[in-house]
Amino acid sequence: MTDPTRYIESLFLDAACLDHATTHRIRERLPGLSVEIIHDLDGFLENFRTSPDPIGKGKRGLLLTKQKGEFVKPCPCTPHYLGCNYFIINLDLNCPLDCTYCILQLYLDHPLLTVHVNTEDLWPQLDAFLRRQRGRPLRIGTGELGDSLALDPLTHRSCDLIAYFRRHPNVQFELKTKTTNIQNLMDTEPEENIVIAWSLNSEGSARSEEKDAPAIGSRLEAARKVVSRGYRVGFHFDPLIRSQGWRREYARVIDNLLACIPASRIAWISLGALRFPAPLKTIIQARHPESRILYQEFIRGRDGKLRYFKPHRLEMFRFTADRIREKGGKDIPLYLCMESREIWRKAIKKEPEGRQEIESFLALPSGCGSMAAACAAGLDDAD
Amino acid sequence: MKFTQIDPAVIDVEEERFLISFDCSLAELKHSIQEVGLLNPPILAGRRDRPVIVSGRKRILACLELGLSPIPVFIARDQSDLKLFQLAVFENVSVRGLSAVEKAEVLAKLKSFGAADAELIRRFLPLLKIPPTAEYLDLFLALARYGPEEKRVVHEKGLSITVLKTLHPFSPEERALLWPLLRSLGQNRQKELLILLREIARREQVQPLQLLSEPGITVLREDDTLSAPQKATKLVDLLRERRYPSLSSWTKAFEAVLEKLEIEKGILVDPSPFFEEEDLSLRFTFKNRAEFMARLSGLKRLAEKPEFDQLFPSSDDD
Repeated sequence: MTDPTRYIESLFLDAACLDHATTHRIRERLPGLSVEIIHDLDGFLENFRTSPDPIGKGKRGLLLTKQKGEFVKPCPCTPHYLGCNYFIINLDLNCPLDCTYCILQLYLDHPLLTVHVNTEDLWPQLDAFLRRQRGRPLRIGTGELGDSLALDPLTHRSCDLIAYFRRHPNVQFELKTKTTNIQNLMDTEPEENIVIAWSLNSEGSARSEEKDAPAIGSRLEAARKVVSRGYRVGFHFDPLIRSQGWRREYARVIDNLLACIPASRIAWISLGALRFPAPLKTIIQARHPESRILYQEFIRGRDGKLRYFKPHRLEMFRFTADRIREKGGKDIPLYLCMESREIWRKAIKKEPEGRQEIESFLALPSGCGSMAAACAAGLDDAD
Repeated sequence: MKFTQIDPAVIDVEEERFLISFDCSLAELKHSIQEVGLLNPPILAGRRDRPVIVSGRKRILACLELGLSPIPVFIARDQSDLKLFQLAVFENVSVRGLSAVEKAEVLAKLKSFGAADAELIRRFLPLLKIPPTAEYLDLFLALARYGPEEKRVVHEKGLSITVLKTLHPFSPEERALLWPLLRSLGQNRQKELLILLREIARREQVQPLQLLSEPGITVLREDDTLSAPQKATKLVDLLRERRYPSLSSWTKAFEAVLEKLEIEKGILVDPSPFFEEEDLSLRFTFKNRAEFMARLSGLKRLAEKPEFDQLFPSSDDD
């Protein structure tokens, strides 16, 4: 399910952006779709939230509106664990895929697929943001509050964003997806600081927990194509799920990944174990009663979120990290998402002092991606 | 509505179609009526030959037991059952809080008198202080279908909405085995017991009934040497160990090391919650310099024991 013209059933237009060029462009790409013009956006969203299964319904409806706040924000990460100083661009919100574990089911204010049409406000905000960063190496991406490429066939955002970041080589710009919507990328000239990243999982977990997402094989095939086109790629094994036979299953995906993608073109691989705020549990039980991911051994972490018992996380991180290294990925920058220094040290034999050290190690140009290089670059670490 | 005086003996007290109250104790009410009289006239509805009670059943029963006659009443005429019952509902909620069972009765009766689900959700759930969603309406309508004995436990124990929601997916057979245990636990432990049962059942792909009928659990449930609270507590502990086997084994191993170390009284060594952090914490008490120095010596002796290193099981992982 990667073609938005097939799954979007309703189009909602905020009256404030009726005449916007992006609105016209998207309407042209969704011919014959019923359109509702929204004059009272807050009232409309309130009604939508209280309708039956708003989350499921939201995945079939597209809202075109304007971003009234800041587009660019620091990734919120989680308290008491190590962050990586990633920055996010909140351009499009929500996701048509229906992953059981998805935090967006709980996190966002409303569940409608949302495109913020006012990109004319994004560019000056990005200019100002980058000026404040004074040319230091950093990472930024759009895939935090939605899938970066899910709506790309409609919005063609990827082309505009790549064109912008091409002029900022100190910034590693990441488009993060589970889809195979790469046509616009294939039609765009690549650049070394543009990273196209895929979320990966074991085949079994992808089938049972990542509803409507392309199979792992299709994601890897899409990654192979963009590498052939000249892009660098990234991968996120997040969330690692401790299902039955997880070792065998993750080993197979890692082996396939490193067999079809040259390690030298992989900008980074992240590992994150399944974790979620307690209220998401109720939502998962109600929306995905067949899922069994909630019934593993979870504890309440220092941030209050439910996460696997530490020895289990450690076991999973060590296994996947070791496998990546054994299979030819020993020079690929590896990092952990929302973990403690202890886990970093024990699982991947690194102990970053803080988030800026991690940022530097990941955001430096390809080939310099080591803690030592980060230190040699004389970067401050304020964490 | 007409105000009049009536002999309570003519009222059809067997008719319970508008009954909300689950509690039948009359002692306090009788005492109040004896002292100051019937202050708030009950509401009746004219039905064929005998009037029936819309609101004020306990007041009428108390007057009958006290032999009072006539008594002041309001009589409502020519109104549908739905309208009459709404009178009873609004009168009740304006003067007292309803128990979960009473709220369930209210919703089931409103529905049987013709109120639509949408109206129940929009108008009556907020009135009854229940979150206005279809899920909660279903929960309370299911509670209205519980047997009288189950309703009594829910009413007497004052089970919270959260516990009721957790109990909702269990079958009547499972509930029958659970009530004696739930009766003996506080709200938090009730919820914990139900969640543990459901999650173990989901993980092991069995029904909770199968779990509750397992030999180990059956022996515990039927052990006459244990009191009901002891049985319930032991069952929660047993289930917790099964639900969290690794955490339980780490906890036991840590406790075993502490036992081997024979730590002096007044010194406490604790792991971080769920062993999430490497650091251990140490607490000790003292009331003067001499005792403080004695504790320090005790701590030094503790650190010199060969078993001390076993407090740090993960140190080998570095």
